[in-house]
Amino acid sequence: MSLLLIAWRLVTSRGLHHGVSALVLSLGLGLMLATVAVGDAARDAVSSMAARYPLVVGPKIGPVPLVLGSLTGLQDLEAGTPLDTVRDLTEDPRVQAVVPLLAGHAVQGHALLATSPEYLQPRERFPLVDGRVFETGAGDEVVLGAKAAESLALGVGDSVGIEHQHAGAPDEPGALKVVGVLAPTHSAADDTLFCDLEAIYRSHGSAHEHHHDHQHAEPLPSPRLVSSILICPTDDPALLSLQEDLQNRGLEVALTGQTLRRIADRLAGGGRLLRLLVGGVVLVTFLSLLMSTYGSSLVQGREVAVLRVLGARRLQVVGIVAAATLMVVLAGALGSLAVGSVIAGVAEGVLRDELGLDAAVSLLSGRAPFYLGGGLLVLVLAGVQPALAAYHLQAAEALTAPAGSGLATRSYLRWSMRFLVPLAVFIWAEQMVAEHGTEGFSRPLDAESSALFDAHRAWTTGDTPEALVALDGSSVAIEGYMYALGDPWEVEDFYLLALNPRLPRCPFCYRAPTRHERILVRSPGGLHEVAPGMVRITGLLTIQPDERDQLVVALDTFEVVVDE
Amino acid sequence: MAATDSSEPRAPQSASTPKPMLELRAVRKAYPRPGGGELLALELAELTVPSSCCCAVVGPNGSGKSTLLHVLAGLLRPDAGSVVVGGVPLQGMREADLDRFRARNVGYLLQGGQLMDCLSAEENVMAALHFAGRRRTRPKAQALLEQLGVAHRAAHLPTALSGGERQRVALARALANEPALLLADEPLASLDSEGAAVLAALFDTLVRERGLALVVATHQPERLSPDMVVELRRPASREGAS
Repeated sequence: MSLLLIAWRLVTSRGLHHGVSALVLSLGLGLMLATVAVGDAARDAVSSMAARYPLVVGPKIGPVPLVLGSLTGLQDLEAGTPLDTVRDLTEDPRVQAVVPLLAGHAVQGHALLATSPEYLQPRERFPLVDGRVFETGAGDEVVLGAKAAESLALGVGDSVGIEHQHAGAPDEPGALKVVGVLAPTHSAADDTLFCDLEAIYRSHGSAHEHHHDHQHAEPLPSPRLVSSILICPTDDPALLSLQEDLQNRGLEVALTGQTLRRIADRLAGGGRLLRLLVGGVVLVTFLSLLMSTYGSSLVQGREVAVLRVLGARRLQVVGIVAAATLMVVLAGALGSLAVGSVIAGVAEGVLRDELGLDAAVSLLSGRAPFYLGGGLLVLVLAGVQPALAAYHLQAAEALTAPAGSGLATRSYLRWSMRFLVPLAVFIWAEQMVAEHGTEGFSRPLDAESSALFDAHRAWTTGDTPEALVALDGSSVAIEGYMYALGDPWEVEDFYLLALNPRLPRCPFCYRAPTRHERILVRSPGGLHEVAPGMVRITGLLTIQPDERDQLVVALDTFEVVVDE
Repeated sequence: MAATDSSEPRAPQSASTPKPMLELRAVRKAYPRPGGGELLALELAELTVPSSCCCAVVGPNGSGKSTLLHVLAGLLRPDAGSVVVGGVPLQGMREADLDRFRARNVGYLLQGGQLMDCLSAEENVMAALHFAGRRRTRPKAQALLEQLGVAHRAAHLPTALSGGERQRVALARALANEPALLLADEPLASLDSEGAAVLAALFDTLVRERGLALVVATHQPERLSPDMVVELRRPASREGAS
C-alpha cells in the first residue's frame, strides 16, 4: 500500500468523471498547441517560400495575384512581361537566380507551366520518382506532376501534345516527350506539367504554321512574353536596387514575404483571431478543470476525513489528492499531444492543398512546447485547489457533515478565483509577447507622439499610405528600443512605435502590426539597414515614407546600438 | 511522557491490574453560532476509563457523543480541559504528533463503518496499517480479515459488501494498529439483531482478552454489557456521570 496507489484508486473509482476531465484537457490543450504550431509552421513556410525567391516580377496586376499565381498556382496569370527582362536579369550581377514562368496553357485539363529547370529545385521539394528534369532550352521535353501522370496514364518515354486535339500524338508539332515524373508533393505541382519556355514558344510557332486552334488562355505571345519572373538577389542591397530598377521599367514588383504575410494577416485578422482563440481555449479548459476538481472535492471530503482518522497527516492527504489530480492532468497532457498531432496533421494537409504552403507542423518545436508548459502550469495550479482544500479540511466536521458537502467550503471558490489571476496573466502575457516582444514602456503620450501614433495606426489598420505620407517631415524625439524579428524582411516598424517611451503601454493600442520590407536608418554615411535583434535608438526620429512600402527612419541626432 | 517531546508517543498496553487508559478533566467544546454566541457541543467534568473496560456513552442526538469520540481520537481539540490517553496528554501536542499517535494507538470504528469506497476491503485495512507505520501490510490485513471472518471478501469493494461485512471490515481496519483504545460510534446502528450480537461478542472478546479500553457511543447500551455508562445530555443541562 502506498499513497500513490490510494491516489490511483481515487482516480479510477470515478473513472468516467476523471476520464471526461482528461478528455476536456486533451481537447483544450490540443487545440491550443495545434493552433500555435500551425501558426508557426505557416509562418515558417511563408518565410521559406519568400527566402527562395524574395522578388516576383510581372505585369501590373497587383502584388497579391502576382505572388499567388507565381508561387502557389492559385491565381491565373497572364503573359505580359517581355522575355528580354529574363535575359537581362540572368546577366545581372545582382541576381543569384532567375526563374521565368509562363502559365495559361493546359493539357487535357492539367495546367502546363513553362519555366526553367531551376523551378523544380531543390530536389527534396520536387522529388522525381522516374526520369529526370527537362533540360534548358529543350523544346520537346516535359515533366509530369504525380496526379497528372496518373490521370493521363503517361510515363517516361511517352509523348503528349500541347494542342488539345493533338494530344498524345508524338510526331505532331508541339508534341512533348515525357522525361520525368514527380513524386507527390501534396501541392498544386501534383496536377501540373512542367516544360521549358522554348516548348511553348516552339508550339506557338508550329501552330501558326499549321493554323491549329490552341488550348491557350492567352493570345499568341509575340514578342515573347512570360507571366512572371521569380528572382533571388545576391544580397539585400541588391534586392532594393533591383526593386527600384524593375519598378522604373513599369513592371509590378512584389516582395514575396511581405505579400504573403499581408495575405496571411488579412486571412487571420493579423493573427489576433488565433491568439484570441488560444486565450479562449485556455480559459475554457481552465474553468472546466476547476469545475471538475470542484465536483471531485464534493465527494472526496469524507474520504479525506477517513484518511485523517486512520492517522494520515495533512501533508500525506495533500500528497494523495494532488497526485490524483496530477494523474488526470498528465493524462490530459498526453492526450493533448495526440489531439494536437491529429489536428496538426489535418492542418498540414490543408495548408499544402489549399494554400500551396509546404508547412511542417510540429508540436515539439517553435512556441508549442512553451505553450504546453505554460498551459500545464496553469492547469496544475488549478488542480492544486482540491489538495489545498484537503489540507484545510477539518476531519471531525467532515465526518458528521451531510454527504456531498465534502471539501466544498466557501473558501474553495475564493481560492480558485485567486488562481484565475495567474491564468489571466498568462493570457495577457501571451498576447503582449505576441504583439510587442518582451519590452514595454509606460509614459504619458504627448501631443506630438499622439499625432504620429494616430496617423501610423490609421495607416496600419487602413492600409492607406496617404496617412503615412501625411507624416512626412514630422519628427519626434525618441529614446527606446526597436525589436526586429526574424530575417531583415520581418523588421517591424510597429515595435519602434510601440516601444517608444512616449507612448502608453496599452495593449489594445497596438493591435495592428504592419510589417515593412525593412527599416533603414539614414545617417551622414548613408542608408543602413536595421538588422534583426534588439536595437536601441536615441535621437530625433523623422518618418519618411516612400511608395515602396519602405519606412525610412531618419535620425537627425542619433545613436544606434545593436544589442547582441 | 511529555507529548511534545515524543515523536512517537505510544500508549501502554493492558496489564493485569487495570490502569486508567483514558482520563478526561473538565473538557469543554463549543462552536461559534452564525448569529453570534456559541453552541455548546460537549461539556464533561470527569471521565476515567481503565484498560479492559467497555464504556458506553449514551445520550440523545446532539448530546455530544460523536464530539466526545472526536476529542478522544485527537481529531478535535477541546476548548478547555485535559485529555490523557494511555498516560499521554493530548493537549499541546502538535497536530502531526496527534496524527501519528492516533495512527499507532487509537482504533476508530466510524459510524456506519465509513470504508473508503475506492479501496477494496483488504486495501482499507492495508491503508490503516500503512499509516500506522507497519510494513508487509497485505499479510497482516489478510490475517485480520480472516480473524473477523471476512477474508473471502478481501478483494471486494465496500459497495459489494453487506452491512455486517462492512462493519467487520471496518473493525478489522480499526484494529489494524493493535490499539490500546478503541472508539466506536454507533457500531450497532446499521446491523440486524444477529449481526449486532456477533459484533457485541467481538467487542467483549477484545476487551476481556486483549485488554482494550473500549468507548462506544450508542443508543443501545444494553446490547453491549458495558462496564460503565456515561450519559450525556443536551447542552442546557449537560453533565458527566458514571
